[in-house]
This record gives sequence, C-alpha cells and structure tokens, in this order.
Amino acid sequence: MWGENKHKGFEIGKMEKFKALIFLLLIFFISGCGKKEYSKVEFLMDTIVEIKVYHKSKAKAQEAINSSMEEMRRIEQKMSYFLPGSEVSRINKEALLERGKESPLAEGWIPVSDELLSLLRESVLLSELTKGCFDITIYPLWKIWKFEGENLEVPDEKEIKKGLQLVGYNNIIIENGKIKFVKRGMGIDLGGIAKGYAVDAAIRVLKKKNINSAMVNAGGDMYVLGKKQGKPWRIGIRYPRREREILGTIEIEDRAIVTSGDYERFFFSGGKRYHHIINPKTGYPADECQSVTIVAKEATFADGLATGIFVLGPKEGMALIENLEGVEGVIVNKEGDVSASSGLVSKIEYVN
Amino acid sequence: MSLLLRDWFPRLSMLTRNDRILIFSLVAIASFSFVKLFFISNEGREALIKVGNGPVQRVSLKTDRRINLEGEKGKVVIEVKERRVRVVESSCFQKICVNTGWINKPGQNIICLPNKVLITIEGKGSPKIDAVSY
Repeated sequence: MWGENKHKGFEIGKMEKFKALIFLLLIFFISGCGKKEYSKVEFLMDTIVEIKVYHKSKAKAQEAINSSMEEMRRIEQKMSYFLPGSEVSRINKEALLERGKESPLAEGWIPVSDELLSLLRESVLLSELTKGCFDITIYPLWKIWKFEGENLEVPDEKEIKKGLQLVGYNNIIIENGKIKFVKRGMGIDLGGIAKGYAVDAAIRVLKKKNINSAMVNAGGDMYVLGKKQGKPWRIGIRYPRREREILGTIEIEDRAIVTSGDYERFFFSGGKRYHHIINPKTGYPADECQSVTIVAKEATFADGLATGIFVLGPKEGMALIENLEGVEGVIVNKEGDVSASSGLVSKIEYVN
Repeated sequence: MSLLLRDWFPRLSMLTRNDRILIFSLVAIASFSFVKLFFISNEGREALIKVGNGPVQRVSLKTDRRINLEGEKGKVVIEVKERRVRVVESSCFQKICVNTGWINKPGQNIICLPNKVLITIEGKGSPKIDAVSY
C-alpha cells in the first residue's frame, strides 16, 4: 500500500515527508524524549545533597531544582538540633525550663508547628513499630556521646545511665498542637528521620513543578521519581566494611532508598569500634548489624525504619520488613552476611 | 505493518551512489562515536571541585599539579598526578578525605564534610549506577 505514488520527478511526496517525520519523532522518543539532565549539588543538613532532574526545558528544570533545594534548606533551619534558631532547638530549650507558676509554659506544654507535629506523630509510630528501637527522645544520650564534636571518646558509664532514664518515646505527650515531656531534661533529636523528611519534601516540590523524572539524594538517602530516560534508576548499596565498594545494585522507580550504616561516624577506643547509631535501650552503639537498607514509598518512613531496624537486629528486623506492605530491605549482619527481603531477592544484582 | 526500510521509503532506490556513500559514512561515524563514548573512553578528563556552596571549578587531569583550597575549617591540599586526583592534606579531624586516596573514574568522588569540599570526576562514559545508598 505504501508503494503507490502519483507524483513524478524528484519532488518528495507529502506522505514520505510525513513518514520521515514519524521516523524522527520515533528516534527522539527512543532517545528519551529529548530530555536533558540538570543537577545541583549543595552542602546541606550536614551532608551532600544532590538534586538531579530530567526535563526538556533548561529554565524549568533549574527553577524546579532551586525551589526544591530551597525547601530542603528551610527544613534544615527548622529541624536541626544544633542550629540554635531552629524549632527543634527552641523545643529542647523550653523543655528545660522550670515548670513553676512563673513559667511561660503552662505546666510544661510546648507549642509546636503543624509540620513538626505530624513528623513527631510519624516518629512515634515508627517507635511503636520498632519496639522503641527508633526513638527521637534519644537526644540526652546523643548529647552525652557528642558525635558531632571533634573529641570522640566513650562517656562515663554513670552519665550514660543517667541519660538513659530520660529516653523513651512514651514520655512525650502530644495534645492540641502542643507537646509535653513527662521528665525534665528530655529532648528530641530528629537526626534519624529529618533527612528522609527533607527528601520527601523536595520531591513534593519537584512534582508540583511538573517534573516527572528526578532524583533527590541526601548523603545516600534518596528518592527516585519516575524513570530515568525510559529506564528504572540503578542504585548501588554500599559494602559496609569496604570503602567505596558496593555489594549489589537494584533497579527502582518512584521509591525511596535509605541506608543506615555503622561506618558513617565512628571512632576506636581501647581496640573497640564505637559508631553513631546508639541503642536507646542500652545507651551504647547498636552492634547487631553493619548496615540496613530500606526501600519504601516514602523516604521519611524509610529513614526512621532503617535506623530502628539497625538497632532491632537482623532477625526481628527482617520479620518486620516482611510484615510491612510496600517495604523491602537488605540487611548486613554483624558477621557481614547479606540478606534481602522476599521482594528483593530476585531483583538485587550482587556485585561482590 | 512492514518493518522493511524499502516499504517505508519507496524512493530509496532513487538515491545516487554518492548519496549512499554519504549515508553509509554518517552511520559509520555515528556508530563509531557511540562505541567510543560508551565502551572505550572510561577515563576521567576533568575533576570538578566544589568548596562550600560556591561555584564549581573545573580542573583538567592532563596536567600534574597541586591546588590549595580554603575550606570551612582551613587548608585543604589537592594533588593531580598521572590523571588521578587525591586530597594530600586537610585541616579536618577524621581525615576521611585523605584516606579515600586516589580517584580517576567518572562518578567517583572525594568528600570532606567538615571542610565542605567535594571532588568528583567527570568524563565521557556513563557510570553503570546512578547513585549509591550508604
């Protein structure tokens, strides 16, 4: 049917022009709809944040990246416990105030913004899921260990015992837009969840700007939106004891992937290794796992869960992953053995 | 629908010998560049250096040299040698950046968080993975 052509001479027929156009469009389509990669890297939230966007328009991509980065900066200003002006710092300060009649806070009730309140609720939910192994009230212990400082040393046992008494998510009461700590000296540290929350928030901004192919990566905790040039994103999972090596890769789209590992901040003392993921029940670094990677629909949830399961341990942790819908994971136990949840077993490609 | 090129473009037979040579050479050049781009040239050409939230500096790996930077905490010294880069000296306390050693492949990086220094390698050739979760 294509063979017939009534035109004569060297003039190109309309039909052929049309077909050539379709051919070209097809090539463009195959090569990723002409979308180009735009990215930006910034030092934020005590780590490196990278936002990568695939889009046809340079201006739109860059505008979306900037707004998204701005959103993460806003969250850092609000959730960081070491920036003195943050809301979390204000809460921790007010929690220390006297509760007498002269106190500006009626019986210790501290007002909290809606945004932080919903994150606190999610934190408590994660605490319940992980039997208290993820706990934002770890703040007093974190202060004792001083992992953000430069002189890393094992604190006095008595101090840790004292700190332990102030830890417990059950001792936060949330009511009418306010929170109250049952014991004085308590405080909150969102370090185990804030990065994930910021990643989700950055993705929400990108979606609002009609971006449908992007990655937001906050120091290895990330979310991948849509596909990358027609294919799923390929993400590596780090080998805990081998610097710059990966144990395997997985392909994901529209998913968060977050890893908690014992290699990010650590020091040696008396031949023993001490790292920054503190077990809220013992007051010492959790030692059942080397790393826990969680794949889930939201980075906030994945972040908290990875920390919680790291403390919970490989056996109970894997059982929890299997019980949660839409959640998969990879756990490296203290011997260095790797296990993947049922949904990932066939998908993970081992490198080493 | 037919998948034969001839059926899509019935006037293909009208091409002269020179047309065919031109098309053939274009396709040959394109495939050659493709192969070169994706399979052969996997070595980095440039290092990208970012200090704090400042602009990105590009440094060619062809010339050996030392670069002194002023990081958040103080001095950071970077060395380029034999198409590789490393941090030789840093004012941070854990020296993770120095211990990272040499990097030379696209996608590899050296990070000094206390000094807010990031060094990555850029080059032709696509890295096999998009990111690493750690």
